[in-house]
Amino acid sequence: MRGFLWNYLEKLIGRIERNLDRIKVSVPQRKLKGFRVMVYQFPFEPIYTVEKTLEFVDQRIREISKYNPHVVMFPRYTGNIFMGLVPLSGKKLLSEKGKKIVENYGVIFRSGYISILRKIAMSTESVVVGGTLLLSDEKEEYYVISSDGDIVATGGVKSIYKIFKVNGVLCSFMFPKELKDYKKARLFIEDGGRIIFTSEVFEKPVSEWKLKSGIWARSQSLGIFGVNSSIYGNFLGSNLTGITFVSSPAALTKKLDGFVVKLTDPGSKGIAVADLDFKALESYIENLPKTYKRWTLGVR
Amino acid sequence: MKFYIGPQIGLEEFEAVDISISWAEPPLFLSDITVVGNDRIAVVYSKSEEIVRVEDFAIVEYQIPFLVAVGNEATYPEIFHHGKAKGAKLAITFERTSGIAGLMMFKYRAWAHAQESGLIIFGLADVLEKIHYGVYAPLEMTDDGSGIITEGTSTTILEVRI
Repeated sequence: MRGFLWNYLEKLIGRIERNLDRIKVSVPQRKLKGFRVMVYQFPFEPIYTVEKTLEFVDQRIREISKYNPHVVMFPRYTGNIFMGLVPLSGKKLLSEKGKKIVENYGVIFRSGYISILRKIAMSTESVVVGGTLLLSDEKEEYYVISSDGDIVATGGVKSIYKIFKVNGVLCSFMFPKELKDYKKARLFIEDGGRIIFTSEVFEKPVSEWKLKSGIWARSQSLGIFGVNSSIYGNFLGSNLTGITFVSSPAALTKKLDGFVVKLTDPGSKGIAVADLDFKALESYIENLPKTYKRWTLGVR
Repeated sequence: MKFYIGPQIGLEEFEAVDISISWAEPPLFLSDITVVGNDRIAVVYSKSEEIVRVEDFAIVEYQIPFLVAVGNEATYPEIFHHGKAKGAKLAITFERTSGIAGLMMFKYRAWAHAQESGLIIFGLADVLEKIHYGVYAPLEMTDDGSGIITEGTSTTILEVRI
């Protein structure tokens, strides 16, 4: 049974999807040589109207066009910013029955969010790693959209990691939980992967060391580029924080701190842009211990 | 358990320790367990008796089992997970590196391995003929939540509740 709310939401998303075509932005499309990644950090500020949604998309397209990256990444829960989804989801707000109803609505929200990402990707000719959309307590999905508008990778927390290619470089999105298990990251690297995108958020207060224990640590121990995009502010009763950065093995960074770029203030809007040097990374990996491939998952 | 990290000669000035760890030099056998090594080989003694000679890595059975890894093996993440799976609670590593970048990589990597594997890692690195020590643990095991128990070039004595 769909009911009034379903119809209302369907119309709302339909309006957004139709109006996205109204956004026309003239942008320079020629990509630079090399590999440029652009990472967003913004607060969790829900958007409830079609107009504001379109404004958000328009602004992002203009910003991305300015930097012309190969990949752009949005933070975790970005999908939940749109369409007034927030009051409908979350453990503190719904009964068991309510959660099931909301999960059903996920079909419409997903479609709307993907349309937004697709518009941004196609307008800027950049691959968009679209943060995530929380559909229920247990269900959170990410979407990676190619510059042609195709979904090149998507999945949830427990799904097998997907590999997508950007400008010849193998990339993957992994949830922070997956990154705690180094084996997944390790397998990905052995598959030829060189960048892991993730979106770590923490509840305040959190120490600098805790912030570094995820993808930053994997960059050091495994030799890989890591991209983390963080959202901050209140989300379903949690005060979120995190840092937005691109990490690499410390030896490849100017300050030897393992950060190619890092936004200094975890509590303000920002954009991090980094040009990644894969020649240096390959050279680093080649010089890793010769035993690097000798072991298989902890078995001697 | 009490640990000593530094030159063997310094042991004479300290109270009794359970495990002493030194960069390659003649052991004085002033601790229950003595571990001396470099980036190629490490030798573990119980009192004055050699019990293990390590050319890559090994698990040493003691009051609590511990992992010893040298050279390339000490930089390799799976060694630590392997050690953990075999019941080790801590790891002792010896490696050689060069320059400030190498030193930073030694520190960050050991810290990351400690977070990933849950082991306490006693790392020794020869950086341009100077021996650097670093002791790292999972964040929650350190008072300040940094995961760093100590790092530097000074002789250190530590008591760790494991």
